[in-house]
Amino acid sequence: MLINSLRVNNFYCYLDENVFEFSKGLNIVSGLNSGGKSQLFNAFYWTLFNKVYVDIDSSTTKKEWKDADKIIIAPEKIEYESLIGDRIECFVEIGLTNEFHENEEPKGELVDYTILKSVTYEKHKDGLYFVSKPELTISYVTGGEINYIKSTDFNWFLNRIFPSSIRKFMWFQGETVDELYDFSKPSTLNNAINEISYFPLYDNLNSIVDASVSSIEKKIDKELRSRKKLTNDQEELIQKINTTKDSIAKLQQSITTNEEKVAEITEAIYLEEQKLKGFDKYTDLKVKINKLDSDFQYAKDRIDSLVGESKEKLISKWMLNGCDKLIKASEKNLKIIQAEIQSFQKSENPVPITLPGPEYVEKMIADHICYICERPVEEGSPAYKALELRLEDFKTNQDYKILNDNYTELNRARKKLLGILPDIEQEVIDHNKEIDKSIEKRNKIYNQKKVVFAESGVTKEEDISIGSSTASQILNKVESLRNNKDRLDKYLFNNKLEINDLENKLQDLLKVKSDTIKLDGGIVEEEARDYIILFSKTIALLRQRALTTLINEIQAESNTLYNLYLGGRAQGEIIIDRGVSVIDKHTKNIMSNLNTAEIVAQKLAVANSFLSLSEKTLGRSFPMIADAPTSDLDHLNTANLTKSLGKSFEQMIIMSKDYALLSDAERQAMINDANVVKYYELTNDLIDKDGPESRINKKTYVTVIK
Amino acid sequence: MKTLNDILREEFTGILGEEEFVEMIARNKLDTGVIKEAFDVLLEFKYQAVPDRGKTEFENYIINTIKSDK
Repeated sequence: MLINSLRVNNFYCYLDENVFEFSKGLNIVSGLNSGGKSQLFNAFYWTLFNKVYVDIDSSTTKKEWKDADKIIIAPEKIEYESLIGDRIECFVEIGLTNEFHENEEPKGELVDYTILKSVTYEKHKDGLYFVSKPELTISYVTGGEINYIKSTDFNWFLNRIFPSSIRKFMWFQGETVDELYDFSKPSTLNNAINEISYFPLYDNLNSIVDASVSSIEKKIDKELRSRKKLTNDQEELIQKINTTKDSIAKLQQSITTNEEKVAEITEAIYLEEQKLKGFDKYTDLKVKINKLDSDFQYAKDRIDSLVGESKEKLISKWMLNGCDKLIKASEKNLKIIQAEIQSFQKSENPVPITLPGPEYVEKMIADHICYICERPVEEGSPAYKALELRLEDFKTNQDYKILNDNYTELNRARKKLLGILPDIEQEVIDHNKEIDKSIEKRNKIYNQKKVVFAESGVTKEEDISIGSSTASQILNKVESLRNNKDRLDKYLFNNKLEINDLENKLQDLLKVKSDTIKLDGGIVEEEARDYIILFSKTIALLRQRALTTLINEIQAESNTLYNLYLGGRAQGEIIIDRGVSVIDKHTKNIMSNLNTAEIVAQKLAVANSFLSLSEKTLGRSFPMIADAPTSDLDHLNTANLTKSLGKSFEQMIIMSKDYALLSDAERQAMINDANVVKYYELTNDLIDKDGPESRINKKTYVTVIK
Repeated sequence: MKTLNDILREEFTGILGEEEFVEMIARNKLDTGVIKEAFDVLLEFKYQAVPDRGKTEFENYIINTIKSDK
């Protein structure tokens, strides 16, 4: 396919009509930032795929591909200068040459197509409004007549000339180079390969041949019956053969279905495992946090328990401390009491304290008679006073006795308490030490938890819960998928054993048949069967080998281009398996931290290998239209890459700011060296040189250099 | 430029040259001319996912060619 021309009329920075003509080979559109390169790329994309690469919203300069249905593409200048009620017409027209789209395969029948998209706006007080939806027209000329493709066939047609599975390779947006291809999902690689290869056709050939294998046997039996009367045994033998074949066919069908299921499950497992990559850290974190939380809770409980116990001990100690003081304070008083008791016991009285009891002495005082000596005792006499003193002694003696008992008891309690107190004190000290240790441990755990959060970059604990819960769900799903896969694998294994047995049995039966049922002159269908079996085996093998062969071809082509783009100095080689990686040529280890030139070269090489293989294998060529493919490269690499690129594409249109830095002489040298066929320079400049520096006074000017 | 059919023919011819198939052709006394022509018949139906018509044409070609060669 060749893109011949682009007419842009009133599209963003392109005012009025601007015409670009492109040719086979390397076409360059050069311009500094804001020159209009990306809008030129958008003009193609808007027309063909109804998308534009614009700011995500007014609050950011980040861009994304947006559906263009509601996006106004008219230049701001025209909008600004229009009067209310004015209508503004905008359009983009692409002219391209392609193999006639109705041809199943290329026949070299090239047709010119014109793809026109237009939209009309009306100026209102608050801006532009769509008069109608943007309209697309696709026309082509055959036999001198203009034909139109039905609007219902637009998507089919555009997908035929720009297949969606390899579209990204043709439309290369430098800013989204990382999204150029993503083969992490195996089906993406398969779809891209299917698009550029013929090997899916082997499926069709295989179906025809398989159907023939089954059909020819029936024809042989029919021919046998028509030419010979078969015995019951022979009929039974044929019946057995047919039953065995049916069983094999059913089993084969079951194997095919289950193999497809296994492939789907394998892909689903892979995708889930990919998803898990973002979440598995949460599982590890959750385990760590749970362990720390559990340790923290244990330390906290221990502290609570120790504090509780300690409180009891402290209360006891506090109480005992009080007693201790009282006991100590009472010691002095006890000594006074003891001294008093002792001094009392030493006092002398004429009345023997041991003989009469206090009641007897009381009676003697009352009767004024001493019953010991039988003499009267006059009140106030020394004898009377001695009796009174004795009576007093009895009372005092009684008090002293009570005091003595109390003293003895108190002294015993005091001694006991004084014996216990030191142990309790030590216990409290030990407790306090243990509490301090537990608090230290608890704080350490708390800090460990903070470190775990800091290292993980997760700020909220609920993120971990959600993340680990998601991870757990994914793991459960993966486990369930693996179980399903294991079950199917076992089933497949048994089916294959069974089919093997049946095939052996079938061979035996067929041998018996060919030995016992013979016709003079043979049967043509039997000879035909030998041919058909040969086809069955060869096509099955070609089908089986095709994918590997093609991946090897893509890999080889990618490496040729990769080396070419890096000026023959590639250190690594591209490997296409699950995804694309670059390995060191000598160590064969995967190379990480590739430099920018290597990454761009790798991406372009793989994309280009798909496109060039499509041309080689299917005869379908595709152009590459690249916006800022080399924006991350330095000056020298850009020039080198450009020279190499020109040699590897049938047609390439590069839009880049890098060439604007070249001097006239350097530019001319590059045009010659890279064999540039068309060279445009874009400049976004003031319309009225004395007017304001504003979009309403600016447009893109197109200069044809070559 | 090689057509798609040329590429498919090339691959098929390549595999026929492998030992296993050379032996099979010799053992069953198969005519390589018939094999190549039959493959071309197959190629006419390469875009058809439903095998019925292709099977009939392919099978008839082989049977009729063998009959006419006798």
